[in-house]
Amino acid sequence: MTPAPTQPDSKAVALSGRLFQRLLAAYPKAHRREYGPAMAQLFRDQCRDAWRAGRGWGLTWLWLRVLPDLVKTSVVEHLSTLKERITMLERLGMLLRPRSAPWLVFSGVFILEFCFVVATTTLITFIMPESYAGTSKILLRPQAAPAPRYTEAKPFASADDSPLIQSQLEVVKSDAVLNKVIEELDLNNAWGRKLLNGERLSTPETLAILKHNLVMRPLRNTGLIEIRAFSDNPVEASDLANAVVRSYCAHGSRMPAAGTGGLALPGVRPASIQTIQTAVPGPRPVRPNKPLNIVLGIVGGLLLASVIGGGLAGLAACLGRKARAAGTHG
Amino acid sequence: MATTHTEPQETPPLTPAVFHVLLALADGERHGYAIMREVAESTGGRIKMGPGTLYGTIKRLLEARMIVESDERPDPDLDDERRRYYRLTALGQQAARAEALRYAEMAEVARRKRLIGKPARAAQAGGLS
Repeated sequence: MTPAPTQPDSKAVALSGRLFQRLLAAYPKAHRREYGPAMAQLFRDQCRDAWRAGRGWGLTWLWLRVLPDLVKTSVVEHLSTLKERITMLERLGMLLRPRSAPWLVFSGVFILEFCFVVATTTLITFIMPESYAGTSKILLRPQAAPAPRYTEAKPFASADDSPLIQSQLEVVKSDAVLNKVIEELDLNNAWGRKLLNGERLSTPETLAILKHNLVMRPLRNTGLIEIRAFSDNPVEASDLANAVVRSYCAHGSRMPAAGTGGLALPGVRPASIQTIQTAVPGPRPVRPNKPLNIVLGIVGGLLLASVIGGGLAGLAACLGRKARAAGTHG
Repeated sequence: MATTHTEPQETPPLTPAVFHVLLALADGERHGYAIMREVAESTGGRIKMGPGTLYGTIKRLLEARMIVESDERPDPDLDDERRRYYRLTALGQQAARAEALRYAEMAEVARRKRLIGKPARAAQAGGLS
């Protein structure tokens, strides 16, 4: 029934087969993927028959027959694909048009969309890991100036105080200060137990994590530096903030006097460092801010649901008008 | 349960290409090349389907559930195992039968109007009256 090729194809047959395979690109991708190999195989079989029957002339006649067929059927398949897409759009239209009124579409979509956004936001908020903060504050008194009370308005307003705060902020963030914190709280082991199942962390690794969990900033016009530490444990967060303050104070007391080099340049060495606020374990996590997230979810849900619901209701109204027009003319 | 309809008016008319493919599969399952050969032989070489027409028709017949692709593959020693075989479904048989009856009815009308005579073979066998 089927001619199993007992001898290799002639060059003309092989060339025809390859050429036909290229021409299959004229068909839609899905059709080509499904039937391309079978069509190519059928054409090769036809080529062998034609070659046996009439050699070159046989192949020529075959091509003259197959080419118009290829052009015609590729157009038909493209039209068929287009028709399928239009049918799908019509089905979507039927889905939206139904049960008539656009306000019904709007209500349905609005409720669904709103519930989806609020539920997702709430779920994410409650899944997110909680983070507690511990906050300490230190007051820096500049040299050769009367010691201001930090409660006074703008005690550090002059431009000369800015270098002091900026330079001391860098000192607080420095590896020298933070390494002491790591040492004091034995963070290599403590965080190793927490993060690496008991395996000890190296100091650079711990330092990187510590820096990531610390936020230090000057409080404008007060001479105060705020040190905030974050952790999943409220006690650890406050311990970190207090340890940074202790380490910085110890480091400050060892700093050389002005004019002797190092960090203690004139105007950047404080006369004294005073701890204004000691961190205490927070009663509730600072991240995620659950009430804020839920309120944002509700507002976002209202906006998104209005936009999507309005758009789909408009589309439904448009399709409904078209359908009525078609019904009138039909 | 599917019901069988044999009245021609119950199924829509088929295109010639579809009818030829259904007829080719009436004897049993075949692959594309065998269908093409069968159509060519049964029409005395007048109809030679190209790959595009044949597989376009097969696609539409599959979508209409008139044929299905056979799961069984031929012995690799006897045939190319990559070939895809197709067979008629009950719906395909019903459509082919209805179309054949439709042709027969039309032939009968033409005969009554003396446009054609009695087919010699059928007359000898005492077939169509």
